[in-house]
This record gives sequence, structure tokens and C-alpha cells, in this order.
Amino acid sequence: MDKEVEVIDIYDKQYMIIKEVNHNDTDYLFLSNVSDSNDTMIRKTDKNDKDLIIPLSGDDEYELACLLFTKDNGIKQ
Amino acid sequence: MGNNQVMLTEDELRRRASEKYSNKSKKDDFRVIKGNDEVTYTEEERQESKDRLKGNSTSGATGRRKTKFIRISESEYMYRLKNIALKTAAVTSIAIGVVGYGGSHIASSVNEFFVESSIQNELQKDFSPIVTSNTHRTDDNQHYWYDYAKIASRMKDYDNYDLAVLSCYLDLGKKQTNKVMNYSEYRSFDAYLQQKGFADAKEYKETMIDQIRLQRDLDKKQEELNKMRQEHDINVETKTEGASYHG
Repeated sequence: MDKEVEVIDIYDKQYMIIKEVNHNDTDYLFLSNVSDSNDTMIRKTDKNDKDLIIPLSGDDEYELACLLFTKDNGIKQ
Repeated sequence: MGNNQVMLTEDELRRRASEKYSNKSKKDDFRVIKGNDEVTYTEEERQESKDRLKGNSTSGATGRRKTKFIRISESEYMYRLKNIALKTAAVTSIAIGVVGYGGSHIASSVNEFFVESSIQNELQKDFSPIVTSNTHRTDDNQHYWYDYAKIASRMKDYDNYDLAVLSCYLDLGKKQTNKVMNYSEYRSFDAYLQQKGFADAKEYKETMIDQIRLQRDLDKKQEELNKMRQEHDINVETKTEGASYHG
């Protein structure tokens, strides 16, 4: 069965939105390059412009995003 | 080929590959369990994929949503989901897994960031209607301006004025808060900080949010204590009633 996924362009590359987790009015997007499954990244939506996808602000937010993804997927450590 | 490069024989390549494989330390292996799947990878691989994901995520270009969709198979989707899950779990297991061994800087910083961003968001949410209702367009409709006097006046409605100042700072930033506080008894945000004994806005923000966090922890503990007391009283009453009935 096929699945429909949203695609966005970053660095002239196409990334699929594999997962989207909302926290405090910010959507964290977990992205996978359409043509390279090992090329993954996390981005977030801008609070004032939900269509704008921006990089995370630093290490703390990166770890927060990882934690959100882990919690959302019920992964056990 | 450059002077420093050496052509390796096929046997040498095999030997090196085998050596590399056997050198992977089993004691450093890391297990991630997701549903019924269990995947093992080494400390080295974990670090490498973690660094790459982190680098990609915290720097680089922005993008824009265009509402464009493609179709992929369910198995392809699950493969990619698992790929991200492995990388993120590697990070969070470091953050969470070592807490039992006396605490971790990473774990505490993640938790603090969690609480801090929640508090900030909450304060901004409460304050933003004050700003929105006192923001006006210029006559040419090209810019906007804040009615600082009215914002300052609404801040006095707060039960806790310090909380109002913090909310204003979080919502409007230092420059605008200075202008708002020109209409307060302090005359400026800088003067307020000085009077309260803070070196700068950063120290002020951290201390205030820390105080709110501590106060909330304290309230939570007090609530738990009250609940325990109530349960204890109910148990005692039940026992007493039981004793008098039998007596």
C-alpha cells in the first residue's frame, strides 16, 4: 500500500516529511532526502510563518527534538 | 595518482576490511528496541550518525512548504522512519540513560530546555493579547507602532509586576521593553534590572524562569503532600468508624 508524504526543497534537494511533532506552537519536522535515505535532518517551522522551515537553534533544541521524536514513537531506551 | 598514494593488493584490502570488522568492540554496542524490532550498532556508528544528523539539523538553509506530495511504499516509509528513529534514539538514550548514574549534563539541559521553553511560551501567550490590542498600523499602512503607554498601563493589572515585566521582555525583546518601561516608575528596563540587582537581561531571564520553575515544583510538592494528608485522614476516619462499630 502506498503512502502520501509531503515534500519540501532544502539546498535544492527534495526532502520528505517523515514525521511531524508539535511542541509549544512549533512543528518539528523529521526529514529524509528523497534520493538518499541516509541523508536525514530535523527542521522546525517558524513561529510567525508556519510555511517557513528553519534550522534548529542549537544543541539543546536538537536534543529536545530527538526526545520529542523518541517519545512520540514510543521507543524504549 | 599522487606520490603518497599506494595501490593495495586485493588480499591487503580484504585483510584490512576483516581487521576493521573484528575491531568493532562488542562492549560498546548499542541496542535500540522499537516495537518488535531490535537493531544493534556500534558506538562509533552511533557517534557518526548522531554528528551528521546534528550538523544537518542545526545549520544550513531554510525551506518553504509548497504543499507538494509524492507517493512512496509503506515499507519505504517505515524504513526511513526507522532510520531517523535509530539516530534520535541514540541521542536520547545518552540523555536519559545515564541519569541513574548520578545525573547527566545533557539530560538536565534537555529537561531544563523543556521546562524553560514551556514557561516562556506560556508567559508570551498570556502577554501577546496586550501587545496585539495596542499595535497599530501607520497611516501609510506600511509599518506599525506600539502604544507603549497603554502596554505599560496594562502591565499594572498583573498581580505580580515582575512577571509582567518578564512577559513583556520575552514577547517584545529588550529594546521595546525599555520603551514600554519609560512609562513606569522605573523609567526604563535597564534601570529596573539595575534596581533588582541583575547584571544584564540574560541573567534576569534565567533567574526569573528558574524561580518560576522552583515555585511550580514547590506547589506541586505541596499539592502531593496535601493529597497524602487527605488520604491519611480518610484512612484514620474509616478505621475509627470501624472500631466504634465493632466496639
